Amino acid sequence: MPLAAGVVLILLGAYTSPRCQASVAVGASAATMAMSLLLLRETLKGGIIVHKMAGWSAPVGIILVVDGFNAFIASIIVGVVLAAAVFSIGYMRGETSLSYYYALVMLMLGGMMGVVLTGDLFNLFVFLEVMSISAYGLVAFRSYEMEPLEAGFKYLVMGGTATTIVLLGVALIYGAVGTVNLADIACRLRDGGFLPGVSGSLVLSVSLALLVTGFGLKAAIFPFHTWLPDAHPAAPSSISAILSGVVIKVGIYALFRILFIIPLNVDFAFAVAVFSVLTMTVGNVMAMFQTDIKRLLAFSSIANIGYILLALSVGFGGGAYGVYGLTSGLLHVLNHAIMKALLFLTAGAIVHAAGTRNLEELVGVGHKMKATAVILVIGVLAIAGVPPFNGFISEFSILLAALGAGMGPFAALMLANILLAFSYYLRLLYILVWQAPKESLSMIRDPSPSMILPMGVLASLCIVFGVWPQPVLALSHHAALSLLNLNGYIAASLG
Amino acid sequence: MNFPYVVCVFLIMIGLYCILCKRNLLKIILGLIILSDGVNLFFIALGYKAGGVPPILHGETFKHGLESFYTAAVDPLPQAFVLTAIVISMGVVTAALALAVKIYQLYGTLETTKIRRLKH
Repeated sequence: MPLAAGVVLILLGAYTSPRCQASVAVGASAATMAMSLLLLRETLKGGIIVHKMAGWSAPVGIILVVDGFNAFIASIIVGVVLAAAVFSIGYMRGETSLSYYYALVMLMLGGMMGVVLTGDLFNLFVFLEVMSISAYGLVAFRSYEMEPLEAGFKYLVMGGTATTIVLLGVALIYGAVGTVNLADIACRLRDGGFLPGVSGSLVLSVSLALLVTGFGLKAAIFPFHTWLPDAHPAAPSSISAILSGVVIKVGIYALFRILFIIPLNVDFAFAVAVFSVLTMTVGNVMAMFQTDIKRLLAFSSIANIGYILLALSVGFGGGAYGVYGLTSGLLHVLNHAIMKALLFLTAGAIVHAAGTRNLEELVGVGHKMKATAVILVIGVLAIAGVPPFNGFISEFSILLAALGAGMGPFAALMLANILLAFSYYLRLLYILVWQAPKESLSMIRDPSPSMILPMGVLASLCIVFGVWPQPVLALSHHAALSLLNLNGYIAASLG
Repeated sequence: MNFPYVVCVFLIMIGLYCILCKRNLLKIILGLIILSDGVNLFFIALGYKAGGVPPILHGETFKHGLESFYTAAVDPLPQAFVLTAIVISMGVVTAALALAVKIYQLYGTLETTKIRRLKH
């Protein structure tokens, strides 16, 4: 659906006004949103939906498999893209070649949906590339400036290497097992069905390492995070919201899926925990020194990827706390997507109005943009983990899960990280909202309604999911359970 | 038997070396190409059988029945995969070259030492 919209947009571009192109994009994402919510409702009834492309059944044909886990992630993705698309109407006004902009956004959405919904490892690689190439184009969209070009090139080289590494991993798995269907891989690995003449465990650990490296690069896990603080701020803010909100979550999704398909030993959980702590520490410490508002938010994304990874490593432990860890991790995927999309959109509105990203020049901007300031305060407090908001729920439950699973030192490090993060979020609020405004900012006012609307909706979601978290907790619990339900997944896809 | 794999690993290493160590955008792009070619070659080599026949069912290959066709034919799946992967890597390289052209227009150079204004 979004892929089709992307193609239509390129064709329409020559003839129509930007307003028309924007409405096509918004309409397509709204339709996709409706579809993914329907899918989510179907999977909540306990079913796994399998769509056979061109009528061939697995493992011969390519299939789309929707279970509670990826329906959950898909809904998050479309939600954020929808908000960013609405925001773009006001934000991108006055830019040139907008038809390509909306077309790339739709192609990126299509790629992300493909990665998340496919039941086939090679197809996953293809859609990963569709997503990434659109993302490179969008990062470098303002190609008349220097920074987006450099950041886009850096992102492209690192992302291109990552996907090639993923392809090598896929090749090794195909060589070892003789199939690329996820369910079929899981099935054959469970039965120990390697192809003759293959030393299975060696090939498997090498290919797993390659896949983890590739997806880790996409998800900006330390030490592969260096592209993110360049690429995310350089993109237009609506794109930063999508990139930080959901594109890195696609890498996380692939990691979750692959690591639960391919059997692991306990040491791996420990390694993931170590990397998660390193990722969040690097993200938070670097964020403290930033004077660029969007760069600060980008580093905070890295930190939050670290929190999600810690939840994943708890999930490997198995047992009740494993499920709890996965649940809280997935809840944090949802919450971070909402909060970070909100913050990038807000930052975009501020930057759009003030014309600078430098915090020292944005002092007191909140006094001039009252509505934006309220939303900014909500977003920052939410991501800092202040109780009435949604960030608190998921960060706190990751901590509890890590403690319960006997990973006390890691939980302590994460708590230290959250406190560290709290300090720079407060600094951000102090500079932007508390201090008296600079004279140079006197002409600034709130942005247009199409920019306020998605920000307001996301901000109210922050509050709603904070004071009334039961429904989303139940959703992410269901998602975690369906991620663990490997046998059901195999039976549904191959059956 | 292992010779193609050695070549692939060699190509992948060259590609990674170019990406990591070269200071010219074009050489980095070349590294990306060599890397993906190495991986593609590896994928193809997986499906290769010495003296294999094309995986197309027709009179000549089907002479000795399905069983012998199955053992003799080259695995067609990697070829389909690699065809897709080649097209994709072409897309990536095109995007990279387009960016490199834009960068050259703005800076007048392709040396990363001269254009790297981004903080690390």
